[in-house]
Amino acid sequence: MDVDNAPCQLARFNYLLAHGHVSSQERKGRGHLTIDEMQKRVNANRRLVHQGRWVNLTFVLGVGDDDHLITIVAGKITKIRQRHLPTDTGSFSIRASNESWAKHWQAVPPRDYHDLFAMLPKGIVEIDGTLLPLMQNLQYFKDIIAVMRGDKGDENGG
Amino acid sequence: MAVEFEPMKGRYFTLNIAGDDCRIYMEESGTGIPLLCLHTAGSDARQFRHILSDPDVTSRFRVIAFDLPWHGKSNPPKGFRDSDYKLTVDGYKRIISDVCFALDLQSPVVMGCSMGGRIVCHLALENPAYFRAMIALEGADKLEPYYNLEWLHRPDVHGGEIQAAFVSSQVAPTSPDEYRWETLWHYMQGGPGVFKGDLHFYWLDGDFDERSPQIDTKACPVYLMSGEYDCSCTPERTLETASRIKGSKATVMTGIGHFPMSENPALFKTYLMPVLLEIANNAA
Repeated sequence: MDVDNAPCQLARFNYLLAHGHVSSQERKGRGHLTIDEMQKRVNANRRLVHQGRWVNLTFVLGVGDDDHLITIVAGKITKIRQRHLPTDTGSFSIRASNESWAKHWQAVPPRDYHDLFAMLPKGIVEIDGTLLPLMQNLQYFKDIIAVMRGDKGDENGG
Repeated sequence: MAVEFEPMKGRYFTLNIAGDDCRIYMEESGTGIPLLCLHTAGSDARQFRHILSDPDVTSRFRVIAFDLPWHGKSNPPKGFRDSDYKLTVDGYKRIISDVCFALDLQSPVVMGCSMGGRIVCHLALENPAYFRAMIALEGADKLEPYYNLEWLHRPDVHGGEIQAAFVSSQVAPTSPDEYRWETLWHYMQGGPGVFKGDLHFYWLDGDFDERSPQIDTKACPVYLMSGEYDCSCTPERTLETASRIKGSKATVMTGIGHFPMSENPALFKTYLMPVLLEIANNAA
């Protein structure tokens, strides 16, 4: 494996995760790598940043047992940090299991995992909190999460 | 250089529906068995442009697609400002029946998608002798809502943006980007509260799983076709509906979502043509 090639690493990790070949320790460590990659990809996508130009908030993205606080200023992700204290929170939260996000982030995701609002009716993802900013910018939030999906996300936000 | 026109022709007509004069826009193409196409909730008849342009279809069928009142280029009735739009089973059946009779359609096939796919089952039950066959795309006799309809019509959320963002979940990830976004564009253009009013029928008023077993498919054949990636009218819901409608024929379309005719017209054609040919051959 080319260790400098983050997208390839990520794709292989997602494959292994989806097929149950990744240990819980690896999942935790790779989970951070995955989320950090999200910041790079979103901020490098001019169209996606423009799409979220009115968004200024922090929201919680739950990946398995880990909650990540994602801070957005004018469409750019300015900070991603792991939640350590119960009082650390955001406007709303979007949570799913490691396995579910791995499927969501496959280049061609399986049915029920292909979109946040396809995961919702199946109970695969949980959404909570103050939903107004999410609904006001729904496609943007769906796209910044789906930006982790293979190489397509680099160009058009998933 | 001369332009190359597409074969469909668009026309307006005014029809009195339940006491209201409604100016309705329709497109048609082809000759043969009437094939009336019903668009999805919150969209319009542009969804059927590929079928209207396909000589393999129009050589055997007179394809007609119209915009429901309040949708596309059809007006809302006079005085629409005084009431909220809300589609009901009875109102929807009446519009379709009135259009069929106004256009003097003889033994038409009706193909509807989503809410159009639901209403064709109601029509098959009600008037099987008149209709030649029903094609329910993404249509089931029992559905459950999974988001609050109030999000669709409020001043602090852009209606067009959220409608497209909601239904983008129902497009297959493998559908061509061009057609995915064309399908979503139609949703971005809907009038305020219209998608919400349609979903009143689709989610709240349209269930009839207790009566659907009464449909006589010998008198009016019913074809149920559902996309693999449809998270609203899922393949499971379609197959459950098929199990209740004895003699119906169900197909799960791999690699397609909730909008087969507009999100992936080429792939959808591979599923649709055998059905249309069977209907045409039965008529011969």
